[in-house]
Amino acid sequence: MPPSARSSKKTTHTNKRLTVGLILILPVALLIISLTLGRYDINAFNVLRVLLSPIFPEAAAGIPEIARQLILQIRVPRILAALLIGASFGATGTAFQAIFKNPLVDSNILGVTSGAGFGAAVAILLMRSAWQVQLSAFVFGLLAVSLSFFGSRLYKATPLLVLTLMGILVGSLFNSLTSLLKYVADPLDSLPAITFWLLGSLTSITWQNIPALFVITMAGLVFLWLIRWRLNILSLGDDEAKSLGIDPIRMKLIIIMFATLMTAVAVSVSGVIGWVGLVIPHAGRLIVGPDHKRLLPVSVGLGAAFMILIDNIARTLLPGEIPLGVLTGLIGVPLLIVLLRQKRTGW
Amino acid sequence: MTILEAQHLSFAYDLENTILHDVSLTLHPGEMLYILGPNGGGKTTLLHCLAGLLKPHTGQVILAGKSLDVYSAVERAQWIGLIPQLHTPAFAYSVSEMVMMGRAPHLGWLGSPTSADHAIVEEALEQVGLFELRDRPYTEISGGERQLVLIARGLAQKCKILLMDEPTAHLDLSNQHRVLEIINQLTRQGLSFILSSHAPNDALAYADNVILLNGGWVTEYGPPIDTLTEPMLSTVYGIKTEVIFGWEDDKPIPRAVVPRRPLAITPGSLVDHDSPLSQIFERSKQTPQLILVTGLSGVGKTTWCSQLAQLASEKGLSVVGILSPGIFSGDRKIGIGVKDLHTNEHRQLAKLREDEDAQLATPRWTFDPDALAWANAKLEDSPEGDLLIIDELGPLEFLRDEGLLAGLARIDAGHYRVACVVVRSSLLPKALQRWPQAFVVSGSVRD
Amino acid sequence: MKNINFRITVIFLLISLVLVGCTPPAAPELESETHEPASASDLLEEEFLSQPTRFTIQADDDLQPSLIGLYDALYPGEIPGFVASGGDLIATRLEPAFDGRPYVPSWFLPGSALIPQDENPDVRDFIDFALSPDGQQILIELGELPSVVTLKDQAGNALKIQQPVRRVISAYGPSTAIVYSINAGDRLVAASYLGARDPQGAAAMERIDPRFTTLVGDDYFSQSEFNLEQAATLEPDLVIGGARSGWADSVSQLGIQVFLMEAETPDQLKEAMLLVGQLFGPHAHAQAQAWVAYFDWVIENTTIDTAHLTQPERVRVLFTGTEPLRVASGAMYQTDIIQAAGGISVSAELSGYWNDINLEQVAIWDPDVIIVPPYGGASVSAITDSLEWQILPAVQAEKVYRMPKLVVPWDTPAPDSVLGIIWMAGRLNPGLTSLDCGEEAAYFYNTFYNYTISGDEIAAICTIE
Repeated sequence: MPPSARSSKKTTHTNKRLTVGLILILPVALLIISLTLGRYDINAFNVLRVLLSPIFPEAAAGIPEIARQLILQIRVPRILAALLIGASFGATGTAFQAIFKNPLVDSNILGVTSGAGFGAAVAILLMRSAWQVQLSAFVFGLLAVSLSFFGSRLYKATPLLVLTLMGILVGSLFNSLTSLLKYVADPLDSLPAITFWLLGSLTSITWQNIPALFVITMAGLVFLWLIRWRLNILSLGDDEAKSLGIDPIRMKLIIIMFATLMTAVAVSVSGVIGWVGLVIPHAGRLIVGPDHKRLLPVSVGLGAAFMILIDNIARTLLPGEIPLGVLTGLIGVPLLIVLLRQKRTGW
Repeated sequence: MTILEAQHLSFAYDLENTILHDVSLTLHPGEMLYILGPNGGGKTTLLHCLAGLLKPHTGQVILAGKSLDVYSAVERAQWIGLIPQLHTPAFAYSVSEMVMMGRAPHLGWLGSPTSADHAIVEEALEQVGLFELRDRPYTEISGGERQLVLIARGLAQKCKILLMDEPTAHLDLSNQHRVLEIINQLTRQGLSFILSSHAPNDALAYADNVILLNGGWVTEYGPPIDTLTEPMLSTVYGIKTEVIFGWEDDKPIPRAVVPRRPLAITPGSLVDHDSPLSQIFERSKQTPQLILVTGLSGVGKTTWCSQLAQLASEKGLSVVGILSPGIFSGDRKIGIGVKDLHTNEHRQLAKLREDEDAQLATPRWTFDPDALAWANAKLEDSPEGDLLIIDELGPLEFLRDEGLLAGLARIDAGHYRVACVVVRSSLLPKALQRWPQAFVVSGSVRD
Repeated sequence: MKNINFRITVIFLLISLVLVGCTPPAAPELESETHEPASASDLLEEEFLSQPTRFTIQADDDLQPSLIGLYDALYPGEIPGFVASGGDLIATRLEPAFDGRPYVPSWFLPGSALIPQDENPDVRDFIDFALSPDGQQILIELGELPSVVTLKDQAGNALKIQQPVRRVISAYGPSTAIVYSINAGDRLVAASYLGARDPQGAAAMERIDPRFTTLVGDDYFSQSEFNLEQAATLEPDLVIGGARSGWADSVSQLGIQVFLMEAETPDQLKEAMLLVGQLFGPHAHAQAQAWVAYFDWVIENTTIDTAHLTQPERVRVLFTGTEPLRVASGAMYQTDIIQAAGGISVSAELSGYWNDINLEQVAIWDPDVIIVPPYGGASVSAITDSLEWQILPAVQAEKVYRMPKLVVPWDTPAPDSVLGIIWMAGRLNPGLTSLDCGEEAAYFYNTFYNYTISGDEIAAICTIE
């Protein structure tokens, strides 16, 4: 073996590490830049002064109170939420693609989003207050996945296939129920609210949404981070995973549980946002390859960055809010097509 | 010293379908054990039981002196590696990432590979000669190379036993050889292998021991020279085989097992003194000789038999048994007759099926139970004779225990000198499993 | 909010009504028995006294044939007693006076009104009959009224509506409000209502029209849905719907006449009033003209009151929707109301219908006043209780108000919106407006809904705290 071969390998290894690190820093940098963006014009220096003001009250002297509050009460939680939700979609999408051995799924495959959509619609029809809508969306998201999961236990056949099938069935069921609710909803009143929720938006994010979102998302991210390398093995199939000393059923169950909690809490505050969990892992694979040890962090970083960017467009481009679900589709689909063209062989 | 032992394993996915019956085996360090047998014979199930992926219903697997149940999944993976049949993973992992996965049982539940693990992976890749390919996507290398990658993964796994499910399937000849040579060299380093395979020739060349597994039963177990014999393989695979020997140190060593095609013999060759047919009659003076006349339906098996019967009686040999010629209306076969060769009596045996509820029937034909009883009585009562002809033993007899059972019993009992039994091609494996010593003759008549 | 709750309540109410109706009314029967002799004798006495002349009519000569026809139809075989002066009822040609707060007499023919001179119930009955479809029928037979009204509806369809229209399904909330406000509510056989889903709205609607609970047909007839089976059992002469109703073609194919209205702007609303007014005879048409005159007069007043305000002096208003972050676009009627009241709609730059926006955009607009609508679960507290909204000066100054309504929300393009302009003008510029919300509401509901609004109702609606 020529020594140069080994040293070049070391360099590519270091390069990839550097890439991973840079991509992880990306959303943090974007977060800071995004704080200066908005319909309300505040320059970057003043934003910095406002950010310092909770610690040094005199830092924001001379800045209008409304600007200060706008940044601290509206922009910061919203961009933070975008970061967390994007990271969550990136990570869960990657994990689901691995454990379902299928690069064309994301964490919605078990019906969590459809369930959450139905839960939100029920709450919009019956109760209306923001926290009730979120709680209902969260609970029904979990309920849908539980239904898929226990439904799949009724059959003995290939568990993964049946689980996927049950997920699709449960998803369709909840979509139909949501359509039914939309049909009976008052077209002047609850229908636009349901429709808007189903298109996804971060417009109503406040600091009150952040603690639950932060805790559940971070817990899930830490867990997925720790087991990220094992996703490689799970993606080979149950028999090989077992022969490599891993209990694939238990492991997948825990991953599904964490990913579902993460997705449900994200969707419950943001509404339905598709495509991110599907597209981001592909982009990540193009950059660092399929090894989940690197892919997971990269998906987290790319997902968070993508979401912040998309939300920046949603909140700044027009006086009216552009639904996120529309933007992710409009940007995600062409992106996926480009990525598919770039694809060498395999994923 | 035994490293792995299976004691009376049986396994069933459900109550009706038992996949393994009472399988026992032992494996020594550095041993290469081949599991041969037809598709659906239980090879993969056996490997999965040995690897601990499936739990046998009865019996147990002993790994290094302790029951396999005692081991945790991680401990088991440190002893036994399983390499499944080649498949393409969903993601294009690089070769070294693939091999790295073998380190899983040596890392904690939440662990990630370290530089020490990288060193082990590189060493394993060098051992199988794939270091150059380490950064290539696993999905882009050849089948043989993939198999070697999986072996390297087993090496990185640092296990003592590697179970490989059909490692040479879908590989070209040179890749088969490359993989098996590397396996062979690894056995010399003390690694034990159990390979399932469809290639008896590879087993002859590389195996220390062979298990012939058929329908979940171990039909033979031992060194290849003892197990891969002509009748054994004929029984297991249901085809006539021939073992080709080579000479080494003045001893015949089996080299290859090749299938033997049905003999193309015409009934007319009976008049030639030296023809194979005449030799069969010659040999029948010592032991009964069985000829299976085979071919697709309509090639002339009955004609072949009746010509032979006629020539034999012209030669002064006594002919017994029955023929079942077709009854035709124009070109259309509308019935089956039955003729006792001893008395030359005729009956109609079957007609085209009209009655859906007929007791004794095949898809196309309804059989007359009286005619069958008559034919069975003839087969039972007729004297031994020089030539016994039974036309034919078909699905009724082999699959449903009906029909000309007297004929079946007579062949089983060896109550004949030369017997000529008509068996259609699809049932030939059944017949050969029953009577592996039979000659197979193509029953087509060209004229 | 709570359609579902509301629907369930309605169903329970209907079930309990049916149950109550089925139980034998033991006690009332007794009561009626005891009263029967008295009422019978009253009746006899009355009939005997009024037999020769029920009341006298002082009528222009050329109107007398019509009156004779009507009288004969109502009291077969009798002829009215005409007098030259001092009649109980005056029938005369009048110049319509549509200015200020118009008084609308009973127009039984175009340009001719019936004016009662005393409280004689027979006079009232006669006037009611003259304005009813049956009376209209008589006048058509006499050739005084056209038998067919030809017009173009607001979807551009040329229509020939057979007169009189007796049975109407109004499958659009605004059109129902219009039918009521031209005094044709008694011709409805089923209707979709605006603002009658919440308990207060439903209760008020029932006070206005006791038949409300039997007429309400939101489940069968709406913009999106038209239950043909249900419609057939009601045997309507005419269906009125919104211009965007998808079912219009299939209904007209059944031979039922369909009038489609569209009122998203003040001009369209005025046009809709006048067109619908024509469908129901001379009195209805006069009602519609009176409303248009009143509407113009109100806008004229508020405009004059605020004319001196310069652009920067005008109050900047944010009109939100069912969600705090959903606001009215410039194309919406709410913007017209704000402008008419002398204010500026900050979200007028938006197009389309309701727009979803973010709080940052609200901060840029920095409205002086925020108005929430009286429907869809929108509430002032949803804004004032929110920490985030507290950053806005308008919220800090507690200038968040709810648009009032009796039944129909005052911000929707329906007749009641004229009160919305008055209320808005008072709300935005308290010292400037000459029109008083309570006074105008009393006039409006009396004139256009035939409903005497109570002091409590006025207090609940108009009080500017």
